[in-house]
Amino acid sequence: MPKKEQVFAGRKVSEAGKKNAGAEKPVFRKRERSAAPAERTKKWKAGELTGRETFREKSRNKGRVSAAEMRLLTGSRLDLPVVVIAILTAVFEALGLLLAAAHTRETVGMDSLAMIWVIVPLGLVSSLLLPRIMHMDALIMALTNFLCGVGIVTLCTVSPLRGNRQILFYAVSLGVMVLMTLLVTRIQRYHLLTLFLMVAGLAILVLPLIFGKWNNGAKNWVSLPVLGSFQPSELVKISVLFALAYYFSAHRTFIQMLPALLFTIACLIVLMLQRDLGTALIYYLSTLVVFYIACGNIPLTLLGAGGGVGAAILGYRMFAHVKVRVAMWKNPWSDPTGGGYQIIQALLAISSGGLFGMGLGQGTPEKIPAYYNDFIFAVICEQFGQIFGVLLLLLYVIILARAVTLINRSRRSLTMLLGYGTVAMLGIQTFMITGGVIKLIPLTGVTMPFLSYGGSSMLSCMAMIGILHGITGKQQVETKESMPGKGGNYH
Amino acid sequence: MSAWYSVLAMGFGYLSAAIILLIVVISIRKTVKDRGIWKRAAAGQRQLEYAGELVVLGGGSKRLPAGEVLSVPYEGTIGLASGCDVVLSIRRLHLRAAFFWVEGQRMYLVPVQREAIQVDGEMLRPGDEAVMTTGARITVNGVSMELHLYESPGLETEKLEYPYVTRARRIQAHRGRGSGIGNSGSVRRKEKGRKKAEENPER
Repeated sequence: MPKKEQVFAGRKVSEAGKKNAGAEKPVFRKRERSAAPAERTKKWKAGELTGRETFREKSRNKGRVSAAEMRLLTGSRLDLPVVVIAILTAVFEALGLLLAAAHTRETVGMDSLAMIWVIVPLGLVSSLLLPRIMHMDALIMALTNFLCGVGIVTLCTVSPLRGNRQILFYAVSLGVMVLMTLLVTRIQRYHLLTLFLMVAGLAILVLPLIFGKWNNGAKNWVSLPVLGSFQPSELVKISVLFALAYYFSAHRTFIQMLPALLFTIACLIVLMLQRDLGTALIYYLSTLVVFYIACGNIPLTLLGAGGGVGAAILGYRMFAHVKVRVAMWKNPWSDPTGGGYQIIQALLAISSGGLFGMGLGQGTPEKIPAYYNDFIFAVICEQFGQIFGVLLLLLYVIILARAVTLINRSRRSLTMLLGYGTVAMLGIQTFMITGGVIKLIPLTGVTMPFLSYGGSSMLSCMAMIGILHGITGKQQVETKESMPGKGGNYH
Repeated sequence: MSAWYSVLAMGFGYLSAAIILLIVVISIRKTVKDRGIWKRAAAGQRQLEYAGELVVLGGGSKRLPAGEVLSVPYEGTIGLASGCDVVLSIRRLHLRAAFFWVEGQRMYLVPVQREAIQVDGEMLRPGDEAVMTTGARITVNGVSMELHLYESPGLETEKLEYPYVTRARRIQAHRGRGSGIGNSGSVRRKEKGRKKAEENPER
């Protein structure tokens, strides 16, 4: 507690004011309220006003927000565009899974048919009902569901067993998303939560180093008796986000930011030891973005970016597989059957799809290594076409842009940084894998958010969406409390 | 069956392109429309973003004339630096002179530098915590301002344990170490000198 505390209760009463306090209260003449404005409003609503009068009413109400519009914004009312998107998603999923079942015509395929009764209701409930109950952003939810639907339909066609498992991951992830939304909305002790997440995050991040096995040049997976096989670096993303947001929010000196920076550096070191360079890059760039947003210190941010470039050069010199990836990015045709095989097959798949694709289940996606996780974007472009692929990327942009709009209205720096960190992480991950698949940047082994096969990836991505919903929920509750009848400026 | 499947798959491909195009168009339209509504809502109801405002009453410069209204967010810093949440263009003011936060209908102000900050005529020292309500008059280096806090019904921010100001930071400020930004060393030296002078008045 501070040594000295003073309470000032507003302006002091002047001597003249004290004298007047005992005097008789002035008598005000009550003015009769005219009924004309109410009648005019009734006429306007009924459409009985003349053109000039309507214009006057409109200009009077210009700049105000109607109660109906506010109900739409706060999620209290079903929004027609969201309903349309939810229905379109349901149609896409149902028809896609029917075709997938017809394509495989095996027991596994028939399972996909049964899964229609799981995924379609789940999508509709989460798009239409959850936003109303929990004050989530309905548009982000509907678009996320569509992306998940595209991933599931594609997986059910190219690898039915993985597709069916992905539906289960999706269902579990929706639960995690709801939990995360509740956590962000209700939590009051961020300090304890952040400390717990940091300790738990570091503890599970080192597990692959102890129990993991080398797979595709990295040791980032671990298989535990009860939990099964999972990728800890995906789950630790949430810990990093909370640590950055908490320690960067108001502790604005460099020293006070250190716990978060040290935690991130420790995570990066562990990831480097695991040789999971893609995830390390996501952590690093997200930290840089949040750091810049928190303090706006350009020299320090540039210094951090310079350090990253130095580390990248060092990594290039130290790790042989990084050298191979850069060489294959420059010219994959130099080794078409070895290191360049992945990129060449992905590029061939995208080009063979053409503008409208070869059709669901057509083509040869299984020729691409890791077609069900890292290279799923190439498979989607082959089957649905390049136009579909571009529009899919546009959906990511819309989700992130919408999230930024929502975050900007946040009242506290902690929630704002949490939101920006989430947006940065999702955006960087999407850019890295899409850029890698289309040979824009060197390939890094990360998953495509919401589309790729994998429980850990789906879980972390949906948890991040839960964080965004939590921030939105807080704002919507606050907005709802200032609705008409509570002092809001609405008509 | 294979030929029929190919036809169906191609048809589904075109349908998917139409569906995603429709979804993109609807989403963009909704996003633009919502952004417009939010803008209007924020303009009509400033308490969505700000907790209140500081009205300059007098003693200011050309850059901070009397009548100027400065929006006050829910937490932040006050100072001369453009990075501060409330920028006061007052001569000889520190880059970050004080930090503040708003809980319920009260604003808490903690100076971190030895500025001439007065609240309702009372001088504040670094680390002192001034609790103000609407109508409080703040004077910084001769510039007087009046605080107006917006009414925000139903907001229970008092219960929250946000990390915007920690106990350690308040103590640090009280010791004259500031917030770690600015010329904290000179402040500390001055503070030490003052304490020594108080302890040994003969010297």
